Amino acid sequence: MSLKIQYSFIELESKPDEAFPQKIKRTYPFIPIRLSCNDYFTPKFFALVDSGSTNCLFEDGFRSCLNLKIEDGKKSMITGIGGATVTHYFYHINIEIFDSQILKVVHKIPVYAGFSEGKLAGGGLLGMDGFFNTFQVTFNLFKGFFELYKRGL
Amino acid sequence: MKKLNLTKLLEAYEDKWVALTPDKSKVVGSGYTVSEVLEKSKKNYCGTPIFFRVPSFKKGYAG
Repeated sequence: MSLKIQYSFIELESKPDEAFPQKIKRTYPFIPIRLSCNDYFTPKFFALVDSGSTNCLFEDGFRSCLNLKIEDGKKSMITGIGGATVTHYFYHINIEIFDSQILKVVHKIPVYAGFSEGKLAGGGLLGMDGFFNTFQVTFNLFKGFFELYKRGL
Repeated sequence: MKKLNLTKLLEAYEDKWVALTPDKSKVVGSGYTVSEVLEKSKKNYCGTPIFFRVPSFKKGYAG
């Protein structure tokens, strides 16, 4: 048995700059999720599906929602474009993925995720370890949607 | 399924957190931290909003 879930891309128009003097439309694959750990939950939020991220990473504000203490996290350094390196604290948590109507949880996956004080697109990145090794993701930019597919359900 | 253009709704909230109604038609709270927006949205809205950190409209993103 398998289950495909479809989501619309979110589009935002840029402000003009030297390289792009006309407004351009930037397209983002965001999906509605929340994080959980023991009996604690974050609010629902949009996280970016990001194959450029090695891990699932979230802003520090969500760590306190889950009652996770800095001293209990495992420290790891993550670097991004431009070479800036940011300390992340890793914990075993769950990601709960909502349908496109944001009404019900369609998947709950355990992940080892990092939290940091750095700003992240959408407040969270769904990266290779934990997300892309659980779901097959198909982007259909021409038709305006993308799909998650998880085998074995 | 069409792309969802949220520019008009979100252009005043660049780089901020917002709380949106689940149909993504209205902003019911905004601020610089999740906890600030959570508090504001509880006062303004009795449903369960969805949070979103609005990306920059001036910069692209590479991850």
